[in-house]
Amino acid sequence: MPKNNHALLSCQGVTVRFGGVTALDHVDFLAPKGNITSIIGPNGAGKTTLLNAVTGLVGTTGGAIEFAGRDIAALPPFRRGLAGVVRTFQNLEIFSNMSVLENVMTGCHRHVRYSMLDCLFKTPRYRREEKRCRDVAGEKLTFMGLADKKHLPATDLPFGSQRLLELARALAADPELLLLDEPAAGLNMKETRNLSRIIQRITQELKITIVLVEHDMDLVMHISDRVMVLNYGRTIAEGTPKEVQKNPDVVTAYLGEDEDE
Amino acid sequence: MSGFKKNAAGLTAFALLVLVLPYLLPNEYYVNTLIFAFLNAIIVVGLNLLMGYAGQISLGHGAFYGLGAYTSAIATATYGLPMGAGLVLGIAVAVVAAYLIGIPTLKLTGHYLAMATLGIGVIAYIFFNQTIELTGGPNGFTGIPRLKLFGYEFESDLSYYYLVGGVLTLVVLFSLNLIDSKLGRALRAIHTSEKAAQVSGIDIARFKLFIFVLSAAFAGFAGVLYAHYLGFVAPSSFGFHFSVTLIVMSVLGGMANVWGGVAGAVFLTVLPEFLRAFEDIESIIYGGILIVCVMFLPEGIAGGITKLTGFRPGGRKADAEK
Repeated sequence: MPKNNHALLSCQGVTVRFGGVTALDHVDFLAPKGNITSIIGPNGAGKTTLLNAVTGLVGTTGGAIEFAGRDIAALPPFRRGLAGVVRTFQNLEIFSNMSVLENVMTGCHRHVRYSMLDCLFKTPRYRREEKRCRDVAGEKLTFMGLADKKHLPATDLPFGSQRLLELARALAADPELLLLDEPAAGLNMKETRNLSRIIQRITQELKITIVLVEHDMDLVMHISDRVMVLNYGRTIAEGTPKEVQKNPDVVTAYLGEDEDE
Repeated sequence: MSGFKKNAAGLTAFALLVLVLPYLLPNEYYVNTLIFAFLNAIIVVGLNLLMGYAGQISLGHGAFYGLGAYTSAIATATYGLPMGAGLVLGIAVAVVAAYLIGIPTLKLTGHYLAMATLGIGVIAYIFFNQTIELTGGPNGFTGIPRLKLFGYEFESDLSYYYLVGGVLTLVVLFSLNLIDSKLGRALRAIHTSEKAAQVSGIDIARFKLFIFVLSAAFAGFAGVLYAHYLGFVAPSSFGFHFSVTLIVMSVLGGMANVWGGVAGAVFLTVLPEFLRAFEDIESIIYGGILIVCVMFLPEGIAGGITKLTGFRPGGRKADAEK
């Protein structure tokens, strides 16, 4: 059961078409506040497309996307970012021309308040806000265990740390809703365990609602409050990890039809 | 914080160099060359913000330079407007032109800006050539008055040199401060990942438009100063060739670096003067030097200096914070 009934994100009948292909077909999806809600499904099921639709990186052809009680389906992506919907990417989208710290400081963008004149004249307000931004960024890097790497060029980090860097950048935006697109892809077992702890700490300590798209079933079943299963752009099951695991439709989707039937 | 101190130190050193340079030169002619070098540097610093930081390519900055030059020339010589008005109008026309080109093209991802500015450069060139009553056509526009501001006429080359040097120093200061902020981070973010920039709440279309218009304003400003220095402008100074030269200056100096723009512009403006002595093989040597630079200085002159000294002029990496 959801920890509380208030849904921070609610998608109703979301449909996305690419030419003749229907990537999402009237998908309903709820992310209750404070929960970790996972989306699983075979490759090509539409999981990433759903995240793209929520963040506005692909347009929807139908349906409503409500965030904190407000319809965001028509907003451009950066407005959704400003509203507090932030995500990470399956294929890393690190700012390769910046240091680790600057990457995370860029994540703070929506909270840094000064005008162009402030930065041209380096006013006290500029200095105060920059310092605050640098402190917040440092805090997030400490949270991820990357504090000692902050002055390195971002591209010098090993792959696993770049994943955490992206997560730190997302956290720096102080989001209400965090969407994680296969954060464990390419990580080894130890790194995945570390990631699992970090994701749980994000919900527990920072009170951020998480939507997780992930293939690593151990991770999903271990940390999720609710799981939704997508296949061919449709929802085929929804429930607690236990319920979903026992659902015959899910087993079929993953393992294929029994030949006798 | 010490990034700020480093900027201040670099700027002070640069201002001092600008001050003493005329006294180190053997004759007045070199002052003239330096004026053109600084004018180009003003444009290239703007172009570096656009190309090196925001990752957008303009193949038509010569047009904004020309718009600034012609507008101020026509405003002051033909219509007898005061110099200050010519200056403001020159920059304003460049800004408006950039804004109108930028709005439709910068909403698109990909190299549409490069294509649009390529077209605008060609159109501006044809316009300067064909509107003979307005611009004097291919023969050029003559009789542009010397720059006069607040009752002071910059009559000697040396006074003009200090004016242009001062403007360039301010343009560099302005750019360094702009880059060292959330605006600079937003621009660099757009360069590497538009998706991640948007998710962080960065309005990428607005930032791209802003930096494109700003770089056009720098070019327009330089154009105004150019027209009132030379007293004569002709379309050939603002053609495609010049736009490409600006890009070469930017690449050669170091794109993602404010000082790189200055270095590239000064180097490539001064270099041909030294190669004059070689007459017939001038172009070959010029080309050869460019090839050597690109081979051994992939991050430009500024990048090369960083590598040699560990000092990153105006840049922000590794040691910049502590």
